[in-house]
Amino acid sequence: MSEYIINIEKDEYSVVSSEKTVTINGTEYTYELVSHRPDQFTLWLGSKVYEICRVLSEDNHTIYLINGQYVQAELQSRIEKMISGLTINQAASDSKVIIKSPMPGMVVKILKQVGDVVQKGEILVILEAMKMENDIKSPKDGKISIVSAQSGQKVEKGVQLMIIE
Amino acid sequence: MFKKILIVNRGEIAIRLMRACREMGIGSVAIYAPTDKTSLHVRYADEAYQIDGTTIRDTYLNIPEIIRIAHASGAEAIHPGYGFLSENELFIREVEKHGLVFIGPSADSVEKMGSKTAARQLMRQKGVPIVPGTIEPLKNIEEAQNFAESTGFPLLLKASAGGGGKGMKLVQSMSELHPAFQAAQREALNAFGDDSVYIERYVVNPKHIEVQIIADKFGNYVHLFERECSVQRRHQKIIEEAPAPSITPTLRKQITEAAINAAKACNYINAGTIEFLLDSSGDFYFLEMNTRLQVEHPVTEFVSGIDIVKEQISIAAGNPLSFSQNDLVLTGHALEARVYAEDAANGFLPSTGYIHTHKIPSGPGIRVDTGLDMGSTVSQVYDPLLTKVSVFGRDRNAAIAKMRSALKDYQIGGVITNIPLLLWVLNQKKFTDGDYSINFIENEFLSGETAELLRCSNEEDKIAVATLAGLLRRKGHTGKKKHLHGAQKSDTWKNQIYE
Repeated sequence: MSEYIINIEKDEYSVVSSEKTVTINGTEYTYELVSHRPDQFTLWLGSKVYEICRVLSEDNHTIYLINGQYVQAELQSRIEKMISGLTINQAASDSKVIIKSPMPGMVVKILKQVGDVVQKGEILVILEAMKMENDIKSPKDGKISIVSAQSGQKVEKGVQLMIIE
Repeated sequence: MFKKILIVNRGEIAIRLMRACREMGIGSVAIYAPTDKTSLHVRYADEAYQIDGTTIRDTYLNIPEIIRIAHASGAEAIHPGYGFLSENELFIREVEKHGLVFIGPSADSVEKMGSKTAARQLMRQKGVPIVPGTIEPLKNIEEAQNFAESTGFPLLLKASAGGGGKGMKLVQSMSELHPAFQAAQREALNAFGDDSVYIERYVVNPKHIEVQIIADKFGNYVHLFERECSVQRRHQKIIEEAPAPSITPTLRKQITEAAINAAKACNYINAGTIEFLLDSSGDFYFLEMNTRLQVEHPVTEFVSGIDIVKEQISIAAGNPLSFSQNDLVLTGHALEARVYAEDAANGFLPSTGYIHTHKIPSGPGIRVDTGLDMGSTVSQVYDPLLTKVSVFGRDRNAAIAKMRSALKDYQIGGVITNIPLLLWVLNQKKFTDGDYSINFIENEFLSGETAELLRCSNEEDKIAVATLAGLLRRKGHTGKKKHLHGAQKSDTWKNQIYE
């Protein structure tokens, strides 16, 4: 019986399941899960019933829709978590983040140059898509090490725009 | 009556128009760009014609092809919906030149209301209140100072050739006026090659109130009451309602009268909307006229009981209005929420993708206008409006409760939508009290930690999601392998059950 750790925002949920029961953070429930379509689920948990849609999946995190709210869940097995725990301190100190285009569009303006120190939430790039200008903000404090996009450039989804270290 | 109508639009509004055709026993003809071949509006029509091309210009705006298809299909009339060619007087003239009927106003009416400054002048002549201002370009700073002395502050300087906020300057005091005047002139010159600017009173925290009117060819003008559309971001409406929560019967009488006068001023025929700004003292000012069917027409249909599209078609066919002003009774309260493919928690980033799940809410008093279907692709080519949810309740609180429930039921998978933002608005006291202006989203939402405000705070729901994520992994169904399970791969129609 394997244990999975699901991170939702800052909260951590431990899920251990067998054929008929699931134990969440130490509390056991009976359950049933039905999928009507590949990404549409009904979950019975004890006496409660939930309708959940899996909206988008990317690598290890998935965005679910439940009662009109999005919930982003990241999942690791207990073993994966132990391994990542060993390297996490190192990762935190020299992790670099690749800023990618979140959608197809045109780069309107690059606001930061190589060597600029940026704070989390600062606007890095303005990207035009669907006739609207969209701000791409820094996900962390850091320093710009590479700028790979140019103003006026058309980009597809997922194209690298910058690297922050 | 017409036997066949060509619908020059796509998405939810095309389907809305085709529904009216069906109910009236009229055939409907769709046009579509190649990428829209399997779209719902194509499948809903009785006939559909492809226009080759990759841009909107070559397809949905291709006037010669549209005229050719109208003739080829035998359609007698054209309905433009909203957007695209709906307010293009050249198109209307072309349609009429080819012996076809345009379902909407005359080209002259559209032209008269198309220019903001010309429309303002016309309104002033006809006694429709406009925001106090100079209209004519200011010749010098002294003229601006004289206006400021007689009107008071705050004031707004605007480029005569303007648009998009360029050359626009808010002025709070006399000492700011001169530098702001010079800056506005510079910006206007840079942006439009014309440095003329005019000045008007700045309406503080106004509400957006609009009046639906409809007129026939026999000079009958009626209004279908007002709507309030103050919940907006960057002039994009998000939630609309009818009636407006703060309007008294006296004010309703005044504003609807002004709207009828505005419509008469341009000899308007068919359905149109006059938009006003309403300030906190109860004064209202003409903003502009939309010479077409409006996105938010469903709320008016709910509270007036009139099918606006059917009436439009009937008027275009030469019939008089099927009702008079005295027949209309304002009943109950209606709300519309616009579902956009935008991630409101994340800077309103547009979201594109393949729609793999689409479960529509239903129940008494719930109306969903959508062009979406499972298998649709949301691209960045068209407007990010995906779908409209409208509800009707006996009073405002009932309508709000119904809308909350409907939006919680709505499942769209494959793109991120603004549904969490819509629910957030419906839960704000300022909204439920009706105490909001066009700055509501900016002041209450954008000024905060948007991601935090829209975060799921229901612990039970989070536990359910965590459980689902864990169970899917246990079964080996990680997100990437999404096509390995579910009813599609099953030999039988039975739903697959995970024990």
